[in-house]
Amino acid sequence: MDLPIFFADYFGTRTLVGIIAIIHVWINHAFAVGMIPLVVGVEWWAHRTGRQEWDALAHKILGVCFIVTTTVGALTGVGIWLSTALVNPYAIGSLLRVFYWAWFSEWVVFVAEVSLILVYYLTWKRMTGLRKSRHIRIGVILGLMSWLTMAIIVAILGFMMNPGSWLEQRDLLAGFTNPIYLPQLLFRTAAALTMAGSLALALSLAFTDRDSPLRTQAIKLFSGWSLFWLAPTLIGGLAYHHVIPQAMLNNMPVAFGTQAWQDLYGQLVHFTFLAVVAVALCSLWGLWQPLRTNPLVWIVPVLLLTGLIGYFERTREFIRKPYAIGYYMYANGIRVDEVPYLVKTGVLANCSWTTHRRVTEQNKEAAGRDLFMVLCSRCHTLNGINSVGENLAKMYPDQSTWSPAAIESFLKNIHGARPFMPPFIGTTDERGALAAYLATLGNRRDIPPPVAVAAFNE
Amino acid sequence: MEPVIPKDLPLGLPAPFWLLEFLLLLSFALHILFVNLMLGGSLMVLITEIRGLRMPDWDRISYEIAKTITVNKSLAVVLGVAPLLSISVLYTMQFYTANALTGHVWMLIVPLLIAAFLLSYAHKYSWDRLAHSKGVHLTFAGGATALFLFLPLIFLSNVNLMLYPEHWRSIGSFWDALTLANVLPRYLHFLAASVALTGLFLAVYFGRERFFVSLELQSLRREQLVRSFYGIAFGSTLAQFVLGPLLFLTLPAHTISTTLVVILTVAVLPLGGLAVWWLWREVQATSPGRRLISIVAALTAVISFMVYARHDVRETALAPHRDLMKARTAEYLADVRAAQDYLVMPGGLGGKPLSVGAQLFQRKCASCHALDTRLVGPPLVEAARNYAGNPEGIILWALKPGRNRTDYPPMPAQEMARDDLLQIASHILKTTGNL
Amino acid sequence: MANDLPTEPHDPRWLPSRATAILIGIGIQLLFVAIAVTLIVGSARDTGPLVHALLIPEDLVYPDTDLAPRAGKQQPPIDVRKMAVPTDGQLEKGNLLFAEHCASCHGPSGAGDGPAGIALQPPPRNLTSLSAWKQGARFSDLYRTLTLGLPGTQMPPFDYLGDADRFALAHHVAGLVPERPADTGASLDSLDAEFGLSAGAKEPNIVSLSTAMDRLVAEKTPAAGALSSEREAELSSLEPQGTAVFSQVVHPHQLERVSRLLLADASWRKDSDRLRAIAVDNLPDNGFATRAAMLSRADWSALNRYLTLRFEGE
Repeated sequence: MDLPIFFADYFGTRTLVGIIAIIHVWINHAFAVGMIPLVVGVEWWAHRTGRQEWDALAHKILGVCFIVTTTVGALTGVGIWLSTALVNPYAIGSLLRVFYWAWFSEWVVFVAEVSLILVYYLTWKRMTGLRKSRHIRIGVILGLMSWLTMAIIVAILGFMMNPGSWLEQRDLLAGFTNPIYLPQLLFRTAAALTMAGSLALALSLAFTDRDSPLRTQAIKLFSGWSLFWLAPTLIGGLAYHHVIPQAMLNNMPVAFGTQAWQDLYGQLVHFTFLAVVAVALCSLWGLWQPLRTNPLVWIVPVLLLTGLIGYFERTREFIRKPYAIGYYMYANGIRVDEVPYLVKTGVLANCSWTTHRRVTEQNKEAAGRDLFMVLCSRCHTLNGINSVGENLAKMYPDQSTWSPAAIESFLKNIHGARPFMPPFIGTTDERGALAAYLATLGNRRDIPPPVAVAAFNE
Repeated sequence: MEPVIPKDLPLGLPAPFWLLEFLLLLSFALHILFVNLMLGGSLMVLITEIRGLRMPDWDRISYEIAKTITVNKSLAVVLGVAPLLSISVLYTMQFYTANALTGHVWMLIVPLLIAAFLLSYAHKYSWDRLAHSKGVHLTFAGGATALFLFLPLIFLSNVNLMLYPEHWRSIGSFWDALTLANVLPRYLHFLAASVALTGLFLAVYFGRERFFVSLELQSLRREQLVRSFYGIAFGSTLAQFVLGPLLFLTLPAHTISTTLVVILTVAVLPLGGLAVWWLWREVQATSPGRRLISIVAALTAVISFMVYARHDVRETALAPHRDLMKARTAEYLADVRAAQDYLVMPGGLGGKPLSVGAQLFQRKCASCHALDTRLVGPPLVEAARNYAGNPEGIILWALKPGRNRTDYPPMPAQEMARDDLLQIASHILKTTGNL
Repeated sequence: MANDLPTEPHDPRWLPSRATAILIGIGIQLLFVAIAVTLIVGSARDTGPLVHALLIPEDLVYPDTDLAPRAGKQQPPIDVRKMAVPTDGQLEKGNLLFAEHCASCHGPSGAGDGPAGIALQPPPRNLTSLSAWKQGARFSDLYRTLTLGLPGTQMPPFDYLGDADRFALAHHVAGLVPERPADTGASLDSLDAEFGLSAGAKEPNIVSLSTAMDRLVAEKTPAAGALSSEREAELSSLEPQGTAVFSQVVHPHQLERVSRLLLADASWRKDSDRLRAIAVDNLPDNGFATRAAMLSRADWSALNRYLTLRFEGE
């Protein structure tokens, strides 16, 4: 309310954060957290058995990961802060205040991780012979640091869904030990390891010769690795599912299928499990008949797992709605405790950056636009992805029903009708103004208000 | 113009102000050191490679410098996280305001920096392969350098804009923010510092006996090379004696405190002068390197004082604003608490309480169904006709709505306890006369 | 061997056997299961609502809002002489109140050119002119006018504003009047006596405008078709449910209109459905309250019986 509104039409601010964050999660799970243990493991085993070609393969796979994590990985990580500062500064600002020391510690660990990966990768060729053991040890610590950065961040993600006892106690420890934290960490650790396996497999196709024994063994090893971690992923997922608040689980059908296909929720869940089964089958096939297929088949598990983790992130973000921080702050940055005051005195009067401060008959639609920007623009665009016009058109397909009074009636109980929407916050005048503005997004016709809309109480 | 006084977040600072300040300044100093080396290094790579077109020795040197960029850039980015964290906590509203006002370009940091890094990698790893296509190869270097030269402007425009709440309303974009006094001088000052520090760094890097020998250069001697790097450091540090005062003179008067003037005149100028003098002597020396420790000490002191001076400017500019914010926030939070105390729940003073069915209907159904008008769904007087005396039918429909009328949008399933649904169904039937 | 350091690239010191590897693998799987089970068993799913306290603006009624009904407060005694001297605070308040309550008719500067006053007869006066003040333009006169209104004109009494507000407004308007006619000690005393200011007055009860209107109309207009109280009691005992329903859907001031409607078309007698059709046909213009649309079938039957009794023989 007191910050200028960064509005991204067409694309939408959700999309901005979503794309950056999903790329970051994909990279840090598959290329770092999951991959380092795998690479170190292969290096160790190559050292013990004297298989130089495995050592070389591990080094090459690490090279790809090194380049990706130190460029796209690192920058999308910072990019999450940069974009959330624009999209929901109140939420990220609050999270930073609560979790400052957690993020500070994570930064220290992150510095260690980056330094170690620089050393680990750049000294690979040089630390041979006697120094190999030390090199492997560097890798082990690197893997630990990598996991630790994820372990700290996941606490914050869990907090956003359900702050747990922090709502009363307001200290870091309470926030850190929120109910979502450990189950989600269990799930992500296993998922990262699974993803790394399929990625390593796909990468090794580029670094091994066709039909060579090395390729055969690589496919077998990495398939086995993926398969091994698939069950823990599902077990972790089960634990995670168990701690999600029921009210948020109720948002799953729309999270999965959007409003258009929420009725297909059952089918979409089946499809998700099928995708997981497909990954398992590919892994089994890799163990059994590594060379019998077109190498392109091995891209499939990578794509499936990438799609799954991406969809998981979207779902996780959606079911938390209407909250940015569960039970504390709505997605538009307004806190739950501010609502009574704002409902009485008005949202516009308490904003510093809107053009209008109160609603009058003359400025109704313009004030409504201001209200849209403050209350709705974090998730909705005017044109493009998830535009309000598109959503309203689904409810009022006939232009004769698209009237300010009908829309206002919807706004009045919007949370009841759509649990993932925050309740309308503002005075009755402001509600009318917003409805007037939204009505202009359709057909501009003066439609008389429906009779007996309000009087329906005993 | 009237400054905007935003209300602050109601959450307190996670540590004492001075501690957060200290962490901010320390982490920022480390970050900016590596940013300087990254930018300066990129410039030097480009210049030396161009020089190397005539003299192969310089091409070799260019390659070695490129290898340092790999490390320096990663450290620059990772060290940037802490100052970003601290500044977002200490100056939340001011910093985020500046971010929002320059938002479209602020977001470009991510793709542009990724592009710069990838270009640097491409440049380094394709050195041998593109040995005979120097044009293409130089484009990589040029691209990376151009990006590294542009990106600091994005950061500078933000940290500058955040200092002037009285200008916020007149700045609508990154380009506007660049026109605020002080951005360009800051940029030039920073650029000169990058070149100076990189020169010094490379003097040390290439001054290592064993390393230089391993390069197997044809015509350049070690002392010669080291001297030229010292020369670069000297030249750009000397330039700071023009760019520094230019920066000072373009500072708005209200941001200058006595502390600042004292630091600059008593500490920075003399120490900087000493550093320049010693650098000059190194350039003259036949065997440069003796004064290295002194130079490093002097420059470290200068940089430390400058980092503090920079912070002093910020504090002088924002401390009054922060006080105003604090007062406004306290007032607001008191009002918010008072509003909660006065809350009177549904019904109001003297109002009759609604029945449970009516309340539930109000919450869950009323936004789409009115009594005898079409809203989103059909009017109840129409829909309830089919369920006269049959509340069970309404319940079944609500749990799993079919699609009887295609002139209406599909009704979403209403997952509710059966008891609640029964209350609503009875309420509907009662009020539409279909009991 | 010197220091037991191997010279070959590989060191066959230890490599887990296949069995060990399998055991480790199973161990890891079981560890995940154990952790997951601990986490699941150790937590209960949150089954609370998504939004705990849902507020819509209509839910909020604040005690000191202008139009919320409340009993009048007892007013402390006021020193009229003191009140007659304007303070900065009062002038500022008066300015705000004028903008809120008066400017719509009298115009923002009091010149009588407000948009809401255009169609009024007589038009809102020009407060910046000294001529023809019906009740005088001194501070005491202004307070009186604000409290009582001007009968015969559209200037209503503003007695629902507190004393302090009316004093502030009076000061503001006094500042608009040229050559400021001044009060004397005597005029202030008579103001005091009239409104019992130094004794402390009771502020009038505040009711919402619609209730006030209803009551006013009911008081002023003899209700055509009204029954004597004996007849009312009789009907009430004969048909209690119908009486109750009737009182809910027909307000006293609509009695005449409803009577005319029901007497014009007699098809409703003995036929509740027909009664309903007539009543719901043109709500609320036909005199029935909108809540008539919410009556149940049984209610309509009862109402029909009641009305049949009431309009017996008509």
